[in-house]
Amino acid sequence: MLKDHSLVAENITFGYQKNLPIIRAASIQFQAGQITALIGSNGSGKTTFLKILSGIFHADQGQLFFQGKSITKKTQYHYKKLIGFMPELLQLYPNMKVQSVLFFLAKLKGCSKNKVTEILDQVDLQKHAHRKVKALSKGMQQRLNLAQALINSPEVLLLDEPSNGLDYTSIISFYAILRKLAAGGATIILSSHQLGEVMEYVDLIAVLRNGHIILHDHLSNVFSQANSTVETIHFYFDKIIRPEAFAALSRQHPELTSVNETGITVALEKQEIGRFIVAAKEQGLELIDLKIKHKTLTELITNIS
Amino acid sequence: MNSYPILIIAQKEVLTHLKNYWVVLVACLILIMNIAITGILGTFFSTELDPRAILLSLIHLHMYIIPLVALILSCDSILKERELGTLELFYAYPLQSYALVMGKWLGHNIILFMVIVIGLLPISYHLYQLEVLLTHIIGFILLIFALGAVFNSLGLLLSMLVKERALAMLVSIIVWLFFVFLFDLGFVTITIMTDGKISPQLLGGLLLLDPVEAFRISAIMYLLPVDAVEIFSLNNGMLQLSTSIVATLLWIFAPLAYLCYKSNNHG
Repeated sequence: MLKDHSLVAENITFGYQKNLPIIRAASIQFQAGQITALIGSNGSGKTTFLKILSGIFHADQGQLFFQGKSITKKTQYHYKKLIGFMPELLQLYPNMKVQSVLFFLAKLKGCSKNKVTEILDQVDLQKHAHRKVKALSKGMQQRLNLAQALINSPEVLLLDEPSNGLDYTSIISFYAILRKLAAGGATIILSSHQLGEVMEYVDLIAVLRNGHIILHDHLSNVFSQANSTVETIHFYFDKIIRPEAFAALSRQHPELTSVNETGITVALEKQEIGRFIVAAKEQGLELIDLKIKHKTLTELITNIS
Repeated sequence: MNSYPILIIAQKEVLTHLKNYWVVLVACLILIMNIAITGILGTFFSTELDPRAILLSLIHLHMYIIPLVALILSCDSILKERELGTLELFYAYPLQSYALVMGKWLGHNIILFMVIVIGLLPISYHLYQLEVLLTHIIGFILLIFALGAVFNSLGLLLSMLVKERALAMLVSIIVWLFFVFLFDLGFVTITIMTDGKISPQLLGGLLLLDPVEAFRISAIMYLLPVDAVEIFSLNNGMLQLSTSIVATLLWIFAPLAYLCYKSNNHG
């Protein structure tokens, strides 16, 4: 079960207070080379779970494994050398210069100064290396925050709401960096409440609800599930729908939601369509056209979480 | 203990305070106050001053100013890291949990040492010319530094326990007022009210509960041993140079030990 280069959480339970768990028996396996998004509403436990994965908090119950080895309080030092973490609220020393901040953090992580130049290049901040952090734009500061996480060439990258406050161009370049890292074999886990963005850039999603992981799947699988789930069907008929015809149809199909002069909207499963058309024909209504509205991924995930 | 990250953090603290002129400003302030209070400038125009009087003035000046300087330096230090998000970030770094606290403590002590040495340099030269022993001058500087280290530890403890910067400042001032003025007042009140019913041993022990008093006692006993016995009635019971130094060391390391324990149990 424990593949190399994968981070595994097994039955993790954690709470800030006793008997009030935020994370409840969460089990999940993160694969190397993939970007996984932790999704959930506010207070679902995304940030807390990321902090457990980064070793900031220690689970009350359950275990973490990395590359098949258990991560405990005693062994976490080695694990922390292999990870990069970017908290949601981070402002690196505003009065220091970009390069000096990274030199300082690189030294703390035991990396060489040469690595700083390389990372500045990678996050496209080399031109701003001698500017003070407070003089950078929000997007640049986020890239600096990412740079500190990347400085030790991490095998696991944990990002808490990384695209907060970024404009669309910055988001594109931000995810381009992440994609490149994933291609290099890094395990990337990020939390986000921007579903649109997640759909565009990640490989897998894990949905958290009340501290439970209720879904963990490839985005493509979730997409196909969304496509196979019909939300509503709108039927267009050849003539105006009489009230008595509508009443008869709604007796047979209580899921009928709305009606206008020539059409009826019904929340039906695909296999029910034939039966509904026959019932309409019995009321003298000839079908001209129909439009099926599938559930969007956002609607599907929102319903789940 | 892997001490390397502690040194890196200490170095950053020192460089930051050198770059923003904090060290220069505070050192100049101490220098000016030293010159003003000891009346060195007066010696250019009149007779030489008594070195005992200079030393006593310096002891009393530093017992007021150094605790305040140390508290201002450290009372929001960890708080700032928490506000920036770097405190949490460091918990995800391959560092010992106490590295940040120890690094800051060491860095602040280096800053205090620099400030004290720069501030006392001209006066030390003058004292040397007045035939005060070099070992006494160095010992005096170390005692002042120890007083600073006590309040550095207390300031860091405050910055760990208090969640807001304004509150940290306020509590620092209260701590300073308590140890510098109120403890003394309380002690005198107790002495008068009990009218000699409490043994001098116990009173001596009570006095060592205040790190500022512990500094004053050790400085007087070290620099002015004759006056310590004849004028200040020291060097009896618990009031020994050794006990006051032990009390000072306890005041330095007890808060630091608690800080390290607290850092280890952050989650």
